[in-house]
Formats: sequence, structure tokens, C-alpha cells
Amino acid sequence: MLLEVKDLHVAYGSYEVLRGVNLEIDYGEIVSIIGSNGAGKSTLFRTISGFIKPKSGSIRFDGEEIAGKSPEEIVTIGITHCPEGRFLFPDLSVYKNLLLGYFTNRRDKDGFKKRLEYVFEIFPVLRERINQRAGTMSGGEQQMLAIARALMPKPKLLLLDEPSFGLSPKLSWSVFEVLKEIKNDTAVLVSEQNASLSLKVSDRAYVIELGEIRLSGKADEVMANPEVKKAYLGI
Amino acid sequence: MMIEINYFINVLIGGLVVGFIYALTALGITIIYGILQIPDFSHGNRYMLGAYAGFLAASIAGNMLEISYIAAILAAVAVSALVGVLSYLLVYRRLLDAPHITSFIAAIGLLMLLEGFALAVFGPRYQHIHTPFDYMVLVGALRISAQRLVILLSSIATIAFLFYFLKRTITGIALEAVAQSPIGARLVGINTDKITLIAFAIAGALAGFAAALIAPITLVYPIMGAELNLKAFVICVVGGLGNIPGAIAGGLVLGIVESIYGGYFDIRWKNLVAFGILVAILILKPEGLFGKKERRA
Ligand SMILES: Nc1ncnc2c1ncn2[C@@H]1O[C@H](COP(=O)(O)OP(=O)(O)OP(=O)(O)O)[C@@H](O)[C@H]1O
Ligand SMILES: [Mg+2]
Repeated sequence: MLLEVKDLHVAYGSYEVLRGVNLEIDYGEIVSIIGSNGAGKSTLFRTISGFIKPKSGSIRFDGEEIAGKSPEEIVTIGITHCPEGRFLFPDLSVYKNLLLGYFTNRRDKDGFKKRLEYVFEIFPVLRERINQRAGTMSGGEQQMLAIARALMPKPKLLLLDEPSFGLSPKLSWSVFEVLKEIKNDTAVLVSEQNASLSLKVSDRAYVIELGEIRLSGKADEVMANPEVKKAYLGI
Repeated sequence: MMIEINYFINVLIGGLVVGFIYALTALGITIIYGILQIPDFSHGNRYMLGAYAGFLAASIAGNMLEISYIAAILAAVAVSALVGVLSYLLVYRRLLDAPHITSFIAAIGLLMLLEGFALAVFGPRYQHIHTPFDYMVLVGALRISAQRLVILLSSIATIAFLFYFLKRTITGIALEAVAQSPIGARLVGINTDKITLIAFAIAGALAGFAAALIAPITLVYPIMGAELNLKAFVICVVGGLGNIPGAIAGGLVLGIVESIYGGYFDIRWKNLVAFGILVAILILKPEGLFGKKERRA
């Protein structure tokens, strides 16, 4: 297993947001986590990427316990997080945003060029925008840049939080298509409120409600579940 | 006519000299503000302590002016950088999660503390740092003090170097990244604490360098930091707090306005006019000359 989350409890103050979450991701997998507003998806991501310390439970990555490590350490170990809100560097160029994406490997100049070429092949529009300031691009382009920045250090796992937020269905679909291209190098955990697109490219899925995993299984099985259809697919 | 032009050019050069000292100091304030959003009111006293460190180093280094002045510059830069680093480690870092007003009050406290320290140790007397550039040079038909030329050239070189650092080196780019989005910086694996430390060291070093450059002209005394601090702050606000070109432009504008006014009119009105113009700019353009709307996450 690439990532194993066991009995994870996370609280903001005394308010417990994750109540014993169990979840696994294997190498080469795309896994969706589906849940409505406030279910705890972003909290789970922030905990894995080191921004929040868990109250208890274990997070093992590539066999190593990583719960409680700092965000810098997590990036170095091979997990990157593309969050809601993107957190790009708005006044820096596309190029510098990507250069900073490679920060943890910054001494490897050749490696940087290769990765830059790699993300430009996935998102050709970024190559055209290379000298443009990130904050002046459209929402869709910024989302692509955020994903590209997270892919720069060649992570083993990408945490992708609501990538379709604010994008047209067509743009969202092209983002999800990209996940299939990268998954052999980089497994993906992707969260969505509206899951019909992400489930189509996913291998497996979890449904989270009020901080607990309610349902999990192969993506097509989850998609076929009547309750999921009703609550998350709008069918 | 010739004499008038020469006088004007000398006034202008005087303004540029003071303006660059303002700019170097204001740069430190604006860099720290960019990273932490703290108006670091204790910055002027890094400048003052750097000047005293330079004075001490020069006294110890002996009578060879070339050597003692270089010792003064190195000591001023090192001590000011150290004071910057320590004020982050001992004060601001502990207040990162506190309301901003706490850091603000702490900054004023630190200002008083350092000034009190200088007064207790060195007394209120004026001290002198001697320079080997204590002569006039002829540039065309102009007679200019060599120290002033040294200040101009080394300030320009320092600012050029700072820009190179911020725009071209990965550490400098990371510093700008932290200023624009601290969370984004942590997402890509930047240690924001280390970058903040570097920012304080740079801010301090710039202030110390400015102090060692100007001390042979303006002398060294305990409240020199507080005096400069006020101006540097006004400059930063006018240039847009956190805005690096704004701090440089603001410093030069204030220096030149002061100098021209003092050179042609009653020097007692110098501050009134200079600050009057600055306040007027703020009223007309509240976000500062180069200010942008806040956008930071
Ligand atoms: N910084 C915080 N402090 C306190 N409570 C928080 C904080 N962040 C989130 N919460 C609360 O934790 C719960 C889970 O939030 P979280 O953002 O993880 O949900 P989510 O599944 O990502 O929702 P969404 O689909 O809206 O993004 C919510 O009730 C939210 O109000
Ligand atoms: Mg969320």
C-alpha cells in the first residue's frame, strides 16, 4: 500500500471533525473521496499534508509513519497537496510558480527541466503563459497551474481537493482526464462534492459523512449505489 | 550661472545620498512587512546599534583609516543583521499566532529597549566614525565629497544585488513567495521560518550598511535610529508597505525634496514641507504610490 490511514481522529479545538477515518490508496490508483459540504474532506487532506496535527490515529506512507510531520517533510517524502483555493503565488510568473513547485529538489537542475517539460505536455496552455503572472490568468488556467505546481516534484501521491470548483464541466473533464495520464507515476486522492465526473476516472471511492467513512468500494459499485446516486450524483 | 547649476547639482547629490540611506532602511521595513505583516518599529534601532558597532570596531581597529572604516562597515552589517535575527527569534516568532497589535506593541517596546540600551552604554554624546574618503573629487566641473560618491555607488550596487537575489536566486524567489502566500510556500515545501529569519537578517544588514555609510557625515548618537525610523515608515507607507520599488522611490523622493528645500529655503521648514508632501500623497493615494490592493492567502 502507498497510503494507509488508520482510525484517524482530528479536531478543531474540542470539535471533532474526523472520527476514526480508515482509508487506503495503492500505487497507480485514482481514489475519489465524496462527501457533502463540511463532511471533513479538506480536513483529511490538510492532516495528511501536515498542516494539521491529528489527535490520534496513524498515517503510513510507503511503510513509514508520517502523522504529525511538517508540510516540508511531507512534500520531501513524496506527497503534494493541491488545496481548495489553490494558494498560487499571484504576482510571480507561471515559470516561477513551477520553479517553486520543484523547491524540495531545487539542486537538481536537469530534473527540473524534465519535469517542466512533463507538466507542459500535460497542460500545453501553461507553456504559452510561461511569463504571465499567475494571478492574471483565468480560473481554469490557475487550476491547471496549481495542479502542475503540485506535480513538479514528481510526487508519489497527489491530494487534489475539489479540482472542478469554479470550472466549467468541459474544463473539469479535461482535468480529470489528466489524472489517468499521471496515475502510473503519481497516485491521486481526489475530493469532490459533485462526484459524477471524478468517479468516472477513479478506480475506487470512499463516501465520507460527518467525519466518518460511510461506504467504500470500486468506483463503478459506488456509482451504482442508490443512496450515492441520490445524494451525490444528482440522479 | 555655472555656479548656480553646480550648486543645484550638489544639492541634488546631497538629496540622493540621504535618499539612498532612507531607501536602504525603508527596504528592511518593507521586506519584513511583506513577510510577517508587522510594522517593525524597532528597525531604526538596528541601524543605530549597527552605527555603534561600527564606531567600536573602528576604535579597536586602529589608526589606519582604510582598515578601520572597513572594520566599521563589516561590524555594522554583522551586528545589525544579528539584532534583526534575534528580534525575530526572541520576540516576533513567539507572537506569530497573537493578534497583530501585540507584535506592533512589542515592536515599540523593542525600540525603546534598544534605545535605552544604547543610551546606558554609550551615553548621549555624539561619536564619530572616520572615513578614508574624507576629501573632494572633481567630476567634470563639479567638486563632490568622495564619501558621498562612495555612498551613491555602494547603495546602487547593494540595491542591484538585492534585486538579483530576489528575482534570480531560488532563496530570493522563495522569499517573495512567502510574502505572497505563506500557505502556498509551505505547500511547495518551503520552510517559512527559515525564510523569515533570512528576511530579518537581510533587513538588518541593509540598515547596518546604511548606518556605516552615513555615520562619517551625520555622526553616531542614541536617537539616530528613532529619527530615521519615523521617516523610513512614512516612506514605506507612501511607497506601499511591502512594496520594494516603492520603498526605493519613496526614499529618494523624500531625500531630494528635503535637500532641495533645505538648499534653497529656510532649513527649519524642511521636515514640515517633506512630510507635508508625503501626507498629501497618502491622502490622494491611500494605498501608496506603488500600492496594490491586499491579496494574500
Ligand atoms: N479552521 C477550522 N476551524 C474550525 N472548524 C473548521 C475549520 N476548518 C473546517 N472546520 C469545520 O470542520 C468541518 C469539516 O470541514 P472541511 O473543510 O474539512 O469539510 P469539507 O468536506 O472539505 O467541505 P467542503 O466540501 O465544503 O470543502 C466543517 O464543519 C467545518 O466547519
Ligand atoms: Mg473542502
